[in-house]
Amino acid sequence: MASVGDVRPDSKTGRNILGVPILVIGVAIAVVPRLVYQAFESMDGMVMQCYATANAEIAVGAAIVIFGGLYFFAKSATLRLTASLLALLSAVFALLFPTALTGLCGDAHMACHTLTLPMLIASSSLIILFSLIGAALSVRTLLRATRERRASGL
Amino acid sequence: MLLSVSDLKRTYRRGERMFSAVEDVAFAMDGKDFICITGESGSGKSTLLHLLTGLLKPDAGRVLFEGRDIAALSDGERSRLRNGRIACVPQGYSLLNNFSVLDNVRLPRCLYGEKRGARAETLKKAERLLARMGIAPLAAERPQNLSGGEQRRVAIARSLIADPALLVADEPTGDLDPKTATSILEFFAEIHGEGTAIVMVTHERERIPFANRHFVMDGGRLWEE
Amino acid sequence: MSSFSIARNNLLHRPFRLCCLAALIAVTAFVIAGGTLFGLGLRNGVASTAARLGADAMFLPVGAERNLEGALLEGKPSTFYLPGDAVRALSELKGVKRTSPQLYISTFDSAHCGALVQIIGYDPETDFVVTPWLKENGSSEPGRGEIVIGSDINLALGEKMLLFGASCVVVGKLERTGMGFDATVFVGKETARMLIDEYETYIGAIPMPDENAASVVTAEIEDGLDHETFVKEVRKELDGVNVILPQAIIGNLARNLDLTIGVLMGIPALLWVLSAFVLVIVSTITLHERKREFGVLRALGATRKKLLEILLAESVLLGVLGAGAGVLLFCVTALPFNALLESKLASEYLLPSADVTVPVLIACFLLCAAGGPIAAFASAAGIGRAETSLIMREDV
Repeated sequence: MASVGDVRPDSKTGRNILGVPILVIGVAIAVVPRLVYQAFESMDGMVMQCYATANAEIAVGAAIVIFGGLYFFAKSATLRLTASLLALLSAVFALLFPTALTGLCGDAHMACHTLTLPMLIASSSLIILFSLIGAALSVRTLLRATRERRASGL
Repeated sequence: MLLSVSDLKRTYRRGERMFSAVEDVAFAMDGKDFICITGESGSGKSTLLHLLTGLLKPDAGRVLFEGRDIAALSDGERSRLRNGRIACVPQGYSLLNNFSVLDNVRLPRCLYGEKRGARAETLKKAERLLARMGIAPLAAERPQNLSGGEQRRVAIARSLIADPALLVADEPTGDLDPKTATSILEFFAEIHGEGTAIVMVTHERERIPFANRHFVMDGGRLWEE
Repeated sequence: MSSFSIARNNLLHRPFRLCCLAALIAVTAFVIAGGTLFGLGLRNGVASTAARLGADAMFLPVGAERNLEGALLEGKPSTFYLPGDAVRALSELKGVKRTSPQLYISTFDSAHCGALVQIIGYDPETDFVVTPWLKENGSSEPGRGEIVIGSDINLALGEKMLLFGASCVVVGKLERTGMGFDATVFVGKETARMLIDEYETYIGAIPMPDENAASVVTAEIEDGLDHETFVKEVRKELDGVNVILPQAIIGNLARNLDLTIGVLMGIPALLWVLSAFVLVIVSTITLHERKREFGVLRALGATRKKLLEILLAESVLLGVLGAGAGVLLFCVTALPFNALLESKLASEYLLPSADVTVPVLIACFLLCAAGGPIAAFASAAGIGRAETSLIMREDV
């Protein structure tokens, strides 16, 4: 049964739009803290807490890249829903590592506070936003398919 | 008397000159009539239909529908009339591409707010009308994906959603092949038989036999044959 | 199907147009939020600096000007001294009402210190700069072995900080200033002496020249005194002593910033006007294209009021979507970099507190969301008035 707002969200264009930025931002999360902002293991004999965070972000970023790619290539709405929820969860961890789990250096003026943390907040927030949109669109597709199956079954 | 028209006149400006599209038109019809108005292009047929439905105000004369002067009503009252008692099937393409076929059909019922239980009822009625027109499988389609004949059927289904007393159709079979045109006019005859009065405008004289009254319009003037 | 759902449907039917217009409003909201908060931040920074540099004059050794600037404005710690006889002479100087000495010691970037910070030791008996600030902040006077820390130091009340191998307990934490004070540890005279004794045992320490030496002497000068003349007199009388007049510096800073702030607020305002203008043009063109659609709706029984309702709903949805996206994007992408701005701009910038920032963001959202309906009304006035059949005839 047709209804208002009969937009087709599972078009190829829709997949591209959401999967690609998730993938690209995932690469940024993995690469930037460690390689661009140069979170070193130690500096002048002092252990840098942000090093552990940067290493964790490599793993988280890699996971987001995988989920973003999965979203991009998936043909079924169920798979896209799974990919977006997993990307969302990973983005939450990307935020938790510097703020609660592994932490950052004590000095608020260091690069890990002024550059790395804001970059991670911005990146994770964008992934959370895209993942939520992707999940909502996938749920909508699944609900519509269920309604059509019920209507044809009657 | 369902509809009574007297001394109806409407002019337009064409450059410096005034042009009379409808001149001294008068006729009456009751609920059992199926009127066919023929005439060449530019004879004033569409203008007359717009005056009958309140889409245009006359320069002179009156259109009484169920005893009420349409021109004297407020915009809200005229709109309500077009939403319920009088239905239009405009000339050409009149569907909205933003909506599915089903939503196009039920749109008139939504313009004044849908009550709680009414939504399901309207949906069912719209589906029944589409089934009656033989296009139920197209309910989820967008109008631009339909053929000309299918689009016309949707427009007709839409016009019947509110069970109007009078259906006004402007060239309902224009641009259609003979077979499709005939099936649409047969449907008109069917709903006329069920109690809906019809005023149909066409330039195709072969459509006349479907009606019980025939008028000719020429140069803004109307007479019955 | 309410006016709202019809409007939503209409917008979703033209996704490219929706995205472009929403993006225009979003960019406007982003720039307005950024410009406004940045401008307020600059004003706030100057106001904070003025409040914290409470002294009329600060005397320091010649050559240590950059060190003092670094310590106060940028959070770059250093150690420097004025000899004791200069400190005594300053207290007896003509034109000076009262003085108070301060000791500036930099910690080491090593395992012996919790962090690289500036220690400022002050004399509670004579001080008139730090004490009022501590009182304002609700912090108690630090006793022996006790410290009051700036907002950037990552410790809470009751925790201990290692300074030259000595463990000191945090008894107060100051609110953010956007200045070097955020990475400063304030100690009383006794603790300062204790720390200097520890400090001087380290290689690389700059030894105190004598017991009565200080780093900076803050002073209140007589009212009505000509500042330029006073500065010249001091430099003439006391060899090796320079004087800085903080309030004069702040005055210059404030004046220079006025133009910057004007531009920062002016550009977003201009952008809003431009965006509204573009929206009006686009709305007008779009309405013209949609005449047939409106004609059909009128033929189906929609009143003029209903058409305007649908248009208003479309414009509100568009405005809310665009403004919401812009403000949200600003909050998650630009606002987190505030720490970087504060670090680069030092005393000139301090983001206002949440009770100012949040209302500003809400106001930006409302202002930009209103752009849609304003544009729609400006262009929709004629749509209901035109005779319906004439609208429909155009496209038939």
